[in-house]
Amino acid sequence: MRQCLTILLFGVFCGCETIVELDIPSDYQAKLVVESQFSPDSLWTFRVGKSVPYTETVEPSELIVPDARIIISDENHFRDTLQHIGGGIYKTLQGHRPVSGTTYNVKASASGFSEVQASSWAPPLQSELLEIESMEVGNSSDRERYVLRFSIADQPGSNYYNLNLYQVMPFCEDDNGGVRIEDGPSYTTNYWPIFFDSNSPSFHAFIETVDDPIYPRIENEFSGAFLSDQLFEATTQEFEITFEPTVFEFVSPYFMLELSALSDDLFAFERSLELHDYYLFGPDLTRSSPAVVYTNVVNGLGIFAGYTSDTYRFDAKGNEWQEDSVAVGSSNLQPCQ
Amino acid sequence: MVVNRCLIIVLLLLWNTQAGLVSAQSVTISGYVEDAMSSERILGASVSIPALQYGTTTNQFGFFSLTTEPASIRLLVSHIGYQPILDNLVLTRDTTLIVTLAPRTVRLDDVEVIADRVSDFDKVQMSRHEIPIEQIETLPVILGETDIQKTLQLLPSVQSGVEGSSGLYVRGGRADQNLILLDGLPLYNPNHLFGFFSVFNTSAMKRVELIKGGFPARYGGRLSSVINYTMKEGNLKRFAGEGAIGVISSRLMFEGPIVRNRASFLVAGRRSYADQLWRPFQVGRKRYGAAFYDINMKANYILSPRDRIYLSGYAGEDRFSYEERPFPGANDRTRYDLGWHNRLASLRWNRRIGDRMFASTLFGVTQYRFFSATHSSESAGEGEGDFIKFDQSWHSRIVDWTTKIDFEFIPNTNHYIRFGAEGILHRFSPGSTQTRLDESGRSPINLLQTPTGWISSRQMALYAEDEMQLQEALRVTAGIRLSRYFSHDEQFGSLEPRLGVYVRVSDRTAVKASFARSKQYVHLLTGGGVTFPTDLWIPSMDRITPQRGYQVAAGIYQSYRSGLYEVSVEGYLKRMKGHIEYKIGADRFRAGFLDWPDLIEIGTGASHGAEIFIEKRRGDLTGWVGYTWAKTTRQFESLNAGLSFPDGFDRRHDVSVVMQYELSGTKKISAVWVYGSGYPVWVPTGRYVSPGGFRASTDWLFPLHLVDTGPVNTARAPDYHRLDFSMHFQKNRNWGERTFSIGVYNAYNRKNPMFVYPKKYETGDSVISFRQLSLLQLIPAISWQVSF
Repeated sequence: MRQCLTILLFGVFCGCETIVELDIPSDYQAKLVVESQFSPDSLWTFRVGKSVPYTETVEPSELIVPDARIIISDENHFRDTLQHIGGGIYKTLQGHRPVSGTTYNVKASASGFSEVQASSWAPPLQSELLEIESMEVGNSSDRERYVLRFSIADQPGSNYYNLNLYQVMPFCEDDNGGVRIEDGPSYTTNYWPIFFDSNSPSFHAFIETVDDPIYPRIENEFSGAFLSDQLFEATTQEFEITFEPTVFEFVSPYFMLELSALSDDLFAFERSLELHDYYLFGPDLTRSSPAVVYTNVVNGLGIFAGYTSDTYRFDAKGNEWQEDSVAVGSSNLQPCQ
Repeated sequence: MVVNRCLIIVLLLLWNTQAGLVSAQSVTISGYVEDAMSSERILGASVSIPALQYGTTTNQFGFFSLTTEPASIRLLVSHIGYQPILDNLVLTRDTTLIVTLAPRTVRLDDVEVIADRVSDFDKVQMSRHEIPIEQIETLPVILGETDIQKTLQLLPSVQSGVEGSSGLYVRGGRADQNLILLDGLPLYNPNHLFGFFSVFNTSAMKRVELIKGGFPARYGGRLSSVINYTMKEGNLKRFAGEGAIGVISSRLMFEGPIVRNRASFLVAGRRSYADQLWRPFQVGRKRYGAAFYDINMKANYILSPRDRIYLSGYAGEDRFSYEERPFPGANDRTRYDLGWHNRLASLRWNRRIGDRMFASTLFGVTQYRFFSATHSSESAGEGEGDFIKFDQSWHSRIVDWTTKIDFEFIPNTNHYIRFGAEGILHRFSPGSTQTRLDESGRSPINLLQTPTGWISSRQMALYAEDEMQLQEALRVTAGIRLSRYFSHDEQFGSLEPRLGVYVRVSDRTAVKASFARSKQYVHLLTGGGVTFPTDLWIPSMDRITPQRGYQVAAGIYQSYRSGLYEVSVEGYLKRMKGHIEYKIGADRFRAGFLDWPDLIEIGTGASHGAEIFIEKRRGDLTGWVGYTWAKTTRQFESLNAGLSFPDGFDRRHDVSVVMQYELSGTKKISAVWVYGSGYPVWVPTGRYVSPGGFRASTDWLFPLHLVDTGPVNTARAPDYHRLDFSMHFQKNRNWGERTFSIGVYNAYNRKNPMFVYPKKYETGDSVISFRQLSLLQLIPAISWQVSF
């Protein structure tokens, strides 16, 4: 309906657009922009930058804050001061990683800015890959289709999940320096997202509709999906997806299912980014207010939020495989032939 | 405790009334005032006894009752556009009159007119405007489409919202806070063409009344204004009609007797034809369509000298479409439809009970429905007849069943008592979706989703009010309204005192004051800015409390040269609670499917302002100048860090100049100039970059340029002003008269801001600039009208 209204309104309101000067208060206070999307699979890493008055146009590199003091802590005795390694990126030198289910607090300060703080966690995730099997496909027997079953043991409270399915595919480098998929005996392989189908009402193609448990849809095809637990709150839910792999002569079908549990903060940030993109595209008359980018950074901007991912690698027979056994991304791209 | 106190006040009023009744021998003159040509009842006509310096006005149905001592009197009856009548009467007992007034056919100069136009100067009711339909018809408007609501926007403290809209934001109120009544029943969406025109066809209207404050107790359920539209009744004596051809629509009205002097009818219709005119020019692969129509119907039957019944109906619809094909003439296509309609039907029974009481009973139903649909059909597969058809439609509805009974009791000249009861059954269906997929070779999929189903709620109210002449120069209207609302999961009650005070300081000067407390049980869930047909009407319920507020107003009124000029200065203070607003980032299209309380914020509002209104009421040159200084704020706990911020339609200065000049008996010229300081806009104040969303790369290769939106509504859009002209040339013919009108909207082609917004261009450093969308620039208009 949004599309319908937007098109019709555009027809009605195709008036004259002009640039105007607005009298915006000039006392804008620059804020620290602190960003970390953390997971137990990675070391503590932050990016720290600053905001500037709206009227200023600057290069991203000019917005880096290299002299910030970043302290990460939990409710117990964990405490780590991160170090600037260049380009506005701060990392732990102690090799610390977030622990799923633990709430962390970050404090950041830099000269000329108010101290900011935020807290969040990487929610625990309990999932299981149950089964993968080949299925009969009507008349097109030459195109194989697979069904994949997995389960999520949902924790009490509001939870959000993200699901992606990848296939290992051959890549090469074309004459213009671009990357493209092309079958060949020696091409480098890497992950490429593939489409899958699901009839589950919990699956949503767009993050905007995830809060709506019965969002009306007619298409069941997804290239990545978001889920909320509204329809399976605090229970173990089994899901089934089907997919049709791309067939290559030289590369066998290897797949990877990536399932992530997103914290509320990360979900809200992700959702607000999508709305924000619409907002800066032009007059979105259907919106009730400007699309404010979500932040949980008190006195500042940015996002400090965690996620936990389970990754399942399997081939067409359901056997597990390792990245080094299929040489994913193991060498430089070969030129396309 | 409060109820007891009010009960005591009501009892005292009744005791006082009874005392008045038995204190002296009296006789009552009652009856109706009618148009001599059509027998149409004239409402708001002045009926007075000049020698005794008191009088009354006819009610909404032309009824009056005047009680005095037995004597020989001279009764003066007058109304705008009619020859006044001064009649000698010898009153010895109660008398019933049908007074007929003849329409004026020649111009009268100022000296001849004794009481040409009923003035609010002498009334207790303040903050009230009534603009004659004849005057509205000669004001310049967009594309020559006469529009009553747009004329109301020219009055002090009435904002239109976005440019060109027919929306009304009265004294800092919201669009849903106006009680818009058509023959006593509410209309939920009074807009055509996204608000560029209102649904009220001037050919079918007899009167429009706007009350901005000091609301009488007989009105309730809305916080900010009452807009009372009354349709014509239909000519009882002869067949007559009116037609007009404009730039985008035409209208036709026909009326006449069903049984001469006993029953009559009126039918009026209007339809836009832009869609038909565009059709030959749309030869590409894209086609647009926009159309609206409305039909007004009314019939009445005089059962007896005491009884009369009215049947009123209204139906109106808007429909927009956009169709796209891969290439011209292709069978594959995608079509989007969007539209809304209002339906209204009422049956009213009026009865005169004795000479001092009048009763009016109303049964009615009103419905509003919005819909949006997508249809696509495309060939599929290799077979010639293979296809895929996809249809999805979204509907939102509200239906009100209303029953109401109103009594007017005029025991003596010192009291005018009104009391009554009202019951409304609201039925809401905020969102349902119908989806159908039909693919050759497969069973069709048909899915109907109505997550909330129909939600019913009931609203009941009792009221009583008395307009009392306490002293020669002091009149007071005291009223009370009791209401109760039963939602599906919650109940709410309300006790609403109303008070109006009138003090006549001198023959030329009066002072008025009023207090009104109101409660509103239905909400329009809308964005803070533009009102769309997609906005949802929802009931009060658990976690969505009713809107409530009060308004205090006071003013001084000055009349010059026997009412030739009137000047008023009014000030008001308004406080409101229970405002609802979508949460930041909430998607209004999901509102039909989710728990509304999860989507909204509830807050408060405050408004205060001062209005100056200078009107020249008679002569070749008529019109007014209005100026408003106002300040309106909102406060929501989760918005703007809980701090108060300017409302989206907070306009500090607002000026309107309206002038009509009668060049001769057949030529008129009119002009309107309006000025408004800029509306607040909520725009970014800062900017920064981010690596992006979930699983964003840690490098800054493709940073997102984001904005810090900062405090709410800190900036102001550019000021608004425009000048409109129109000229009207009238000619009398054997069969009637015709009027040819030309005009221009926004004569000096000012680019006024309709929307102000930021816009990003992906050019290297991602420049973000502020843009303004201006829609209505210089627009000429032409129309041709006949009446017979």
